[in-house]
Amino acid sequence: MADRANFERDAIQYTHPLYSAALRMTRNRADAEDLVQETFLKAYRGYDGFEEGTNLRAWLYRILTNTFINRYRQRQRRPDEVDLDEVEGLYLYKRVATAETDRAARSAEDEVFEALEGSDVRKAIDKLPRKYRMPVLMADLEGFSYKEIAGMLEIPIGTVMSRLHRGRRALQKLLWQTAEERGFHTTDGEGD
Amino acid sequence: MRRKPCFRAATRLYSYLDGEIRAVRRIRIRLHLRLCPNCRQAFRFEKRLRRFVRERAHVDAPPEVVERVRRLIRERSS
Repeated sequence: MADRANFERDAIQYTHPLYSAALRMTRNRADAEDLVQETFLKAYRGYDGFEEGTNLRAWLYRILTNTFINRYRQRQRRPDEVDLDEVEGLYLYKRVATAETDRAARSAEDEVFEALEGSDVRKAIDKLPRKYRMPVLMADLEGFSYKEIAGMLEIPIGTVMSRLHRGRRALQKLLWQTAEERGFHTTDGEGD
Repeated sequence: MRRKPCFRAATRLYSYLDGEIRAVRRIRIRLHLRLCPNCRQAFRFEKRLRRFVRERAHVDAPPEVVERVRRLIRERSS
């Protein structure tokens, strides 16, 4: 059992990852900050129930996710969310592999990765509808298992897998669209 | 990626990278990756992409947010 007196010392270091996650969930700073504060308050109150020696970051993240889901249950979808059409597997890989590059010394792959900035990646994630965004955040950014995600989102594991699948592919397509805006295109004319 | 083992590897790409695959299948995929440069390349790319997305998506909390959280905890604990 954890001692509340140590809460600040133990938990404060996770403000950054929690805020980062909250920002991707809520997609705006004010809500993200509110969410983080509420998470810390709940965590402080429930700290007696935290089992010392287990993963504190994961424990806090669970509280964050729960709070987010309960608080924003009825939120409307944002106008810039994309509709998820069927995207083929290895979407980005196939395009990057055939991308034209003007500097022969460097691979197109390196160039594409370098051209995409943090804000591009964040914007692409934010365009995913929540139902796909949440599993992608939890698996790819936080490293939770399918089972853990299923538990937190209260959906079956099979649903986690299919949403991850679609969400990841849609994310690849969005990233390639940004690369195209940066001037990349494939040699074989593939792409949308 | 037309051959059957390549197709099988591609369908299990995510479960493999997620570490959500039975040991036998994982070993089979590893073996295949050792033999098939195309699939090896694709798997390596997906792994790199995931690391890239994780690193680039991160933003630190503004200092005032950290400060507010700290104050909030102190108010409760005093």
